[in-house]
This record gives sequence, structure tokens and C-alpha cells, in this order.
Amino acid sequence: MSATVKVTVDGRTIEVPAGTLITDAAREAEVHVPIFCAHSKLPPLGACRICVVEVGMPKLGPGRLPVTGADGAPEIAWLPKVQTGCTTTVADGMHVRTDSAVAVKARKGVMEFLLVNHPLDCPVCDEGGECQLQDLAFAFGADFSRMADAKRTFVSEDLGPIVKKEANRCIVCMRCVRYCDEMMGDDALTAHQRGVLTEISSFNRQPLECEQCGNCIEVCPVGALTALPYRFKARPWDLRQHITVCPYCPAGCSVRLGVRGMEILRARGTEFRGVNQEYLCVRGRFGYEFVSSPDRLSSPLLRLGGSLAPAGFDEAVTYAAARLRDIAAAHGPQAIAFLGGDKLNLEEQYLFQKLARGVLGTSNVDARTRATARLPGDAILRATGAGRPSLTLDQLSRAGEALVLGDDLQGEAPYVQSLLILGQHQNGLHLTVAHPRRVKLARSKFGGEWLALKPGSELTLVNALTAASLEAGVPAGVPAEVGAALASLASALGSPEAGARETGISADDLRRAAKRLCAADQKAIVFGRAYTEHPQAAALVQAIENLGWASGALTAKRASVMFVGPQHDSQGALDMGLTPDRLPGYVDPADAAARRPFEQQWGAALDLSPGLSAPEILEAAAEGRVKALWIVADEWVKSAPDRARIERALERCELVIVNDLFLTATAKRAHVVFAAASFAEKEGVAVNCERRLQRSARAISPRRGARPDGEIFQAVARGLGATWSYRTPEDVFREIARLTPGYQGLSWAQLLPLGPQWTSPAPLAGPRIAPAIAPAAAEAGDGLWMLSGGTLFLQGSLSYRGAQLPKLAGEARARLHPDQAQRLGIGDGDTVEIAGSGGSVTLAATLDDAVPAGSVFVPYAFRECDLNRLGAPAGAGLRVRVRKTAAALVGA
Amino acid sequence: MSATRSLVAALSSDLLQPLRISDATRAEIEKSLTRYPNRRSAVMPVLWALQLEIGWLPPAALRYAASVVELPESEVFGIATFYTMFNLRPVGRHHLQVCMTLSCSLMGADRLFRHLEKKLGIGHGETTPDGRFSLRRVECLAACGGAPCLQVNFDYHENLDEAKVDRLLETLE
Ligand code: SF4
Ligand code: SF4
Ligand code: SF4
Ligand code: FES
Ligand code: FES
Repeated sequence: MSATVKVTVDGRTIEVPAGTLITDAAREAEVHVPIFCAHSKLPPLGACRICVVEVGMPKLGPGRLPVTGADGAPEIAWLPKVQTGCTTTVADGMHVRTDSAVAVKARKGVMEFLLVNHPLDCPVCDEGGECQLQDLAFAFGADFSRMADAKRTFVSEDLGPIVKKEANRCIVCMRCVRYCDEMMGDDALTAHQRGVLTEISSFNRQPLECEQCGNCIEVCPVGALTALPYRFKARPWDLRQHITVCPYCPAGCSVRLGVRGMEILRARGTEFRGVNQEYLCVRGRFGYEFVSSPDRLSSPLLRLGGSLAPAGFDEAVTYAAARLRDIAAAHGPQAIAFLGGDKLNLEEQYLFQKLARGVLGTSNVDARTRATARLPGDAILRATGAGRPSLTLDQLSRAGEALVLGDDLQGEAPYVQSLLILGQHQNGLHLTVAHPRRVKLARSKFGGEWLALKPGSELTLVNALTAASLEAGVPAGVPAEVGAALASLASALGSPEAGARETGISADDLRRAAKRLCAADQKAIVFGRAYTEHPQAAALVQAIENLGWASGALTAKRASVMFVGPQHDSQGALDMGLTPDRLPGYVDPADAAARRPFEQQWGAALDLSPGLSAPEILEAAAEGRVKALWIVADEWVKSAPDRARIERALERCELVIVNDLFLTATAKRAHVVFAAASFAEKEGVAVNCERRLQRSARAISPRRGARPDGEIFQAVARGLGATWSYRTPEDVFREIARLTPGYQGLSWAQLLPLGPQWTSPAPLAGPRIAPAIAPAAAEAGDGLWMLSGGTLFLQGSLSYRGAQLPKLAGEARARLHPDQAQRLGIGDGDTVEIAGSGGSVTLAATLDDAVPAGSVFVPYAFRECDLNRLGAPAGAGLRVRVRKTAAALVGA
Repeated sequence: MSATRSLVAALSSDLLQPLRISDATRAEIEKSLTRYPNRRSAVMPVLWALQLEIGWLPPAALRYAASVVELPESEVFGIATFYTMFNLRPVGRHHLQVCMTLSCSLMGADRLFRHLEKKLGIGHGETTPDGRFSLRRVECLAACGGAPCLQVNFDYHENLDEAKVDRLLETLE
């Protein structure tokens, strides 16, 4: 659609879209134009001048006709001065020279200036060996310095626990400052002083109050910013590099692990690679440390005679298989349930449910272990467009309007948050954030709209937005049956005014938000665990599907609703049928024709009738109906709702098998514990929130005694008489790709970082528009709303096993609005007890005006604070009482 | 040495104490905010008003400025360090600001500055223990025709040499 232009770089003529920068055109022509300050995620700046090139246009003679030389080639009128390639866009017929005497001399001159004050630090600089300044000085620099005066020097600074600054090395390219601003939205760095004294630092040189992502370090082309945790640990040429998929959120960032021997020494992003390019959040960059934790399990454990004791792998497998067989024989396969798996690779997820359904004959499988209510296995599929081509993360950052429902993306998917910030800065993206707390994206600096709904009114809000959207009528281009259904939905929903009362958001604001969403050409609705783990999850996800169609985010041809799941492979878990009512590819087990390929492959006419969901399994186990549990990669004891009931369930079960890296609180209650390999120790695929399949490499071999979960499943399956013989994850993937609707045609070889998105030729489920109503919430609720959610520095039970993340996270705190705290007589730092129906937790309080009065906020994932002790949420959430138990220590 | 000590004390006490500004300054700030289409454009007059009142710009004042003009705190700090007219430390009664830019430099600013250093026993950015003088190198004062130029608080003194400076200092109590 956009016009292309012809441009010649060092004699190579290529065609590129109009508006392309010379540096990008040169890359296309495979001509190297060096850059320092330019960056693909930042607007052009032109600070460093290293990219200077000679630029010319064909000389025009009489009649504006090109003048040709003796050889018949057009004569070029070269501009008298060199131009910066990173700020100059190409024009049709433009000629660019990087190798002429003028260009070479100019570049040499720039290089000399850049080196005027640069210290001879290379031997002691962490960047040495992968430093762009070093490389370019080698390629283009002079071999001597004419600098006669003393170099100007700065004092080195630690800007907090992560960022080390050696300002002497800085070339003032401004990448760090701008990246922190444009991508992180933190504006934590700035240039102090001016001219030769310019120095990058923080406000008042204080420790950085920021996300500690280390992206400023990553984008620094020299060694001016380096990572304190990696300081002086290795030389880059000593490291093997392996590209894995980050295990900490569904964005699916490519993480390049630097490995020496068996030890992971660092993690980095990679420019021009993966969904994330160079970006990593603090978890992706520093969260790998658990892999080498000394607390890792080094062998399976068996409970024989009361306590857990180390056992051989074969012994554990034989025991587990025998016990499973006995229990299935005595109580029927439905007495067995499989839980967890959203942290596994896709192939392992497939095998886990195949073992349950195809070998043991139970459909009690559910990866959504933190769910508080049953959610149909295809609900999220429908809400996100049933396999229609969906938004990419890149498109998300280019949308005109994004509605973020319920989640604090800073905790749930930091990269998604960064892309929205980037979109807001560079592409005119407008944000609407529906969240009771003023989360980062809802801050006024991002210019969006904060829908500060009252806790518990989530469903009303989504319905009211749908009602407001439908006031303008049914969007054009929806299938006829959807149009009809939406029209009758509109009359059932009533007016936004009713919603306004309950949510505390004015009808005008609701209408404005809906209008913006409907009007935007490119739009996005983003939701996640805040709604899928809500007690009203089923109604909420239905409401999102309604809103999707009503606002035009779902259309016959494409889908712009994104599910940001709780774990890095939550999407894969849904796709692979780690839900009790859907087979891989969302196949309804009641559909005999669709089911047949699975029966043929798995070799049995199976009873595939829907099984129990995670909350139902919990209940059944507590009541003694489910007798065996296999819990995989899931600290279920601490994360499932209602602690008392879980304890009871685990006590009553005759057999509990746990796969984990560590002896978790859950593993401690098991009869069989399998030591599992970490993400870095196995190969496999994960499906990110844009449904992109990416293969993670094996960076190191598994810890002694630990096995990849897939191997464990295969061994037990064989112990149960199955004839599985997968040699590699690729074998498993081939079977998946053959059987799974939506995945057909995908091949292992494609699945590198930035692999393909799966989409289905025909939608995998028909649209379903229906009033989304939840059973009337018991109005009895009093006390404060217990709000929880993800937090940046911790995610899941692995994150607190390293050194950096727990240090950055500090202690769990109960956050209260200052007014609320005052009413309760609570001051900053006081110890408070939060009591729910099931029990209580005690922790220190922090005053925070981002938390609404009438509620208390504690993030999950803090090891010492198990929120499930408070009891199960009911109605629209959990109500608690908060009281002060001890005053803050003065000066503490 | 005592200059450093009092500086540290000033900085840390600043972190504990809330900012107190007079109503007149507040009004001045309000007025400057209305002068531009964007609040952020008012950053310079806001900082200037704060410095006129406090004498320098403690971190709390910078934070306050950032909040009223809706700019990141770091950026306001960067701006305040960019311009030599803003003091990020307390200054003495007579703030000697020696222009070091080209014209003044060619006309002997360096010599002048070294002379002042020796005479007062303080260097760039420092204050005499009695709080009488502060010394600072600054960028072009736009008095190039009278180079070298020295600004004392708000007054310009031009075409200087060591002897003239000595006489000038004697008049400053
Ligand atoms: S660590 Fe990240 S958030 Fe902090 S200053 Fe660097 S880029 Fe900004
Ligand atoms: S610290 Fe690095 S990224 Fe930042 S301006 Fe200096 S050289 Fe550029
Ligand atoms: S944004 Fe998500 S996937 Fe990317 S590094 Fe952070 S936790 Fe990992
Ligand atoms: S890369 Fe072009 S000016 Fe820095
Ligand atoms: S150079 Fe000193 S006043 Fe301009």
C-alpha cells in the first residue's frame, strides 16, 4: 500500500518503503552502517553521529531531467556535508556512500571525538568483547590518540542494587534515558550537566526508584552501564549462549542465557530477535538463579514408613504406577485427578493429559489450579476469537485504543505493559484501565482513562461497557446470528446508568470508554487471571466475549482480544486440553467424530466425559471422593483457594504425586516426589499470549537426579503398560500437530523464537452471545475487600529461590489507603492482622493511596504470606477484617 | 571541609523537612503555569521562583517543581543541572559566578578564576566557611563585549583583571 522507493547504497540498488531511514535501508542492502544512539524501539535522535554517510541525488539538467555521464549512468550531486543515516529518510533515486573518502574521514573523525575522553578500561570492563565502541574503534578508528590534555573523569556510581555506572565510558548516546522513558515509562535516568560534563544519573543521584529491569544496561552500547549481579563474573567469549523462553509470564520473551560449564551466569535479550528484541523485565533478566539453587531436589523421594526418603527413579516410577493402578482398580479412574501443568512445555502438557485420559481413563485434569470456580475449557478460546487471526504483540503497541481489564500488567506481563507504554508514547495509543487500584498504566502520566471500579463490581462493569457499546447499535460486519443475538442482549442489559451506580463510575465515563473502544480502528481488549480466577469467572469471560463482539474487537475475520494468562504457558495448557471438559485443540469429547483421531492415536475407546475442574477436585479430595492426586510444577498448598480445605484434601488422599524442582510445601505432603528439570534444562515449546509457538533450547543438562517432566510421564505411562516411545519432544510435537485442530501443519523446525502464531482455518468455536449473570452475590459482605494481584519482582514459587528477586521484592506488605488506615488506627509500618473466614495472616502495613479505601491489597507470591489461609472467596470476592496488632518500631 | 560538612547537613535535613514556600512564591508559580500552553513549559520560571525564595534548589523543591509542571523528577533534576544559574547547593552571601565561555576565556577568565580560588581558598562550587563567598564557573553571561565578566549575585562586573577583582571583593561584606 505505501509506495516504495529505489535507493542505491554503495552501488547496491534496493527497493524499500518510502519513509525508511538510511540506516535501515543499508541493513536491507547488507551494507554496514554503524550506529550507537539509534534503536529500533526509539524514535530517531541523531546524537552520536557515527552513522554519517555521504548522500546524493541524481543531478537534474534542463527540463528537470537527470544528467547522465559519459558512461550513461546518471550523475550524482553529492550533498556537500555528510548526513546522519539514522535520521535521514530515503528518497527515490537517492545514492548513499559509506565507503567514499569523505564518509570514511567523517566517521573516523566522529570516532576520534567519541574516544577523546574514553578511558582505556577494556581489560576491566564487563562490556569488553561485545562492546560496540570497541568493535567500531577496531573497524573505523584511528590507531593513535591526539588527545594531549587530561581526560575528564567522573566518579563511578551504584544506582541501586542492579545498575552500575562508570560515566567515564559513556558516549552520551541517550539510549538508556530514552529507553527507560519510552518503554519502561519510568523516566528514572536523565542527563546531568551539559557539554563535556554531561553525565547520566538519577534524580539527585539517588538509588533508582524503578522497575530494575536492566534494560538501560542492555541498550547501552558501551560499558557505561553494567549489571552489578554480573559484574566481573565472566568474559562474554567464555560463555555459551542459548536462547530459551522466559518462564515468568505469557509474553514469551526470548531469553539468551549465558552459560559457563554448568552454570548460568547471566540472561540477556537479543537485538532483532524474539518478540521482545532486547527487552527483558527484571524477572526475565535476573530470575534464572533458581536453576542453580543448592536447594534443588537431587533425586525422587518416596514416603515409605512415614517420612520422605530419597529413592531411585525406577523405584519411584514403579511405586507410582502400581499405586495408581491399584487406586484405579479399587475406586475407578475417576478417583484420580491431575493438577497443574501451565508451567510445563507444550509437549509435556500433552503427555500429562494423555496419561490421565488415554492411559488411566480419568478426565479430572486441570491446570488452572488457582481458579475459584469452574470455567468451561473453551470459554477463553471463545472470548479471544476462537482461533481467528489474533493481535500480535507488535500490533497491540500500534492499536488506537487498548482496554485493560482487571490485571496489573506490571506484575502479570511486564513486556505487555511496556508495549502499551511504547504505543502510548509513539503511536498515539490511548489506554483505558479498569482496575480498582491505580496501577502503573492508570497513572496520569500515560494520559489514559482510569476506570476506578469498586471491588466486586467487575462483572457489572464489563456488562455496562457492553451496554454502552450497543447503544450505538450492533457493529457492522458481524455475522447475522451474532447481530441478532447482540440486539437481544442489548435489551437484556439495560442502560449504563444501572452499572454506574454499582461500579462507582459515571455513566458518562462508561459511555466515553465504550465509544473510544468502538470507534478505534485497531483496538485491543486485554484480560487475565484477575477475571479467570474470579469467583464469577464463567460469567466474566462470557461478558468479555459479549463485549468483544459488541465493540467490534471480535469480527468475522479477526480477533483483538488478548488473554494474558497466569503462567508462561497457560495458553498451551488450554490448547492441550489441561481442562476437564476439552481435549487438545478444544475438541469437545461429546463430539464423536472430532474425538475419533484421539481414540485412534491413544488406542482405546475412552470414556472422555467431562471430569472435575480444579476447585471441584479440591472439594472431592477433601470429601474423600478423589483419592489420588498428581500435582505438577505447582505450589498448590499455597496457591489454591482455601488453605484449610487443601490441607484436608492432601491428608485424605491415599496417593499424592508431586513433580517439582524443590521440596515445596506441597511436595512435603506427597507420597512420591519426582525431581524435575528446570526450563533451562530441557527443550520444548511454549505458547505465549499472542498464541505464538516458540521453542526453548536446552541450555544445560538437567541437575543430577532431575528429569524433564515429559520423561517422568512417559516412564510412569510405560509402568502402567502403555507403549509410549517418544525419544524427543519433537516426537511428541509431531503427534500434537497431527491431532490438534489449529495446530495442524505446524512443524518443529518453524518453532524458533518468534515462531508462528497458531490460527485455525475455521473458528474452533461458534460465537456465543448470552447474558452474563452471576448468582446474586451474597450481600452480607462487610469488612474490607481483599485485593490481590501479581507483583513485579516475584512470580510463582520459583522466583523466590534466587538471590536478586527476593531482595528486590522485600517483604510482603499490606497496602492500605491512608484514610482507611487512619480509620483503623493503623500507621505506616505497623503490624496488622488480616482475618478472613478461614484464618488470618500477619504482616506489616504500608500506606498507599493507589489502593482504594474499603480494601486492603497484598500481592501474591510472597513466600512468607499465604493468602489462601484467609479462606475461599465467595460472591464477588473475599472480605476480610484488618486490625493493628503491633506498632511500628520507631526508626525501623 | 566545613563547607562539605554543612552541605551534607543541608542535604539530609532537606530530605526530612517538608518544603515551606511563601504565598507570594506560590502565587508566582501559579501565574507562570498559566503563561504557556503546556505546564511543562513553565519549568524554568517555577525553578527560578523557588530559588529566589530559598536561595538554592534543595531536592524537595525540585520534587515540588516536578509535580506542579508534571515532568518526571529526574528530568527536572537534569534541567536544574544544565543551567548554571540554578544552585543545587546552598550558596554564600556573595555568589561569584565567573564566565568561562569563549570570549571570557580568551580574555583571561581562567587566570581570574584561579586568582579567586587562591584568594578565597575555595574551588568551584564551594563556599567560604564564614558563608561570605561562593565561587562558581558559569556559561556565557551574554556580556561577551565586556569580557571577562563576573556576576556577583545579580550584578555584572565587566572588563576585569586581578586588581579590579581584589578591589571589588573588598566592597562585598
Ligand atoms: S533498570 Fe529499567 S526502569 Fe530502571 S533505570 Fe534502567 S531502564 Fe529504567
Ligand atoms: S550510559 Fe550508555 S546508554 Fe546511557 S547515554 Fe551513556 S553510553 Fe548511552
Ligand atoms: S515480560 Fe514476561 S516473558 Fe518477558 S522477561 Fe518479563 S516475565 Fe519474562
Ligand atoms: S546512530 Fe545516527 S547519530 Fe547516532
Ligand atoms: S563568553 Fe563570557 S559573557 Fe559570553
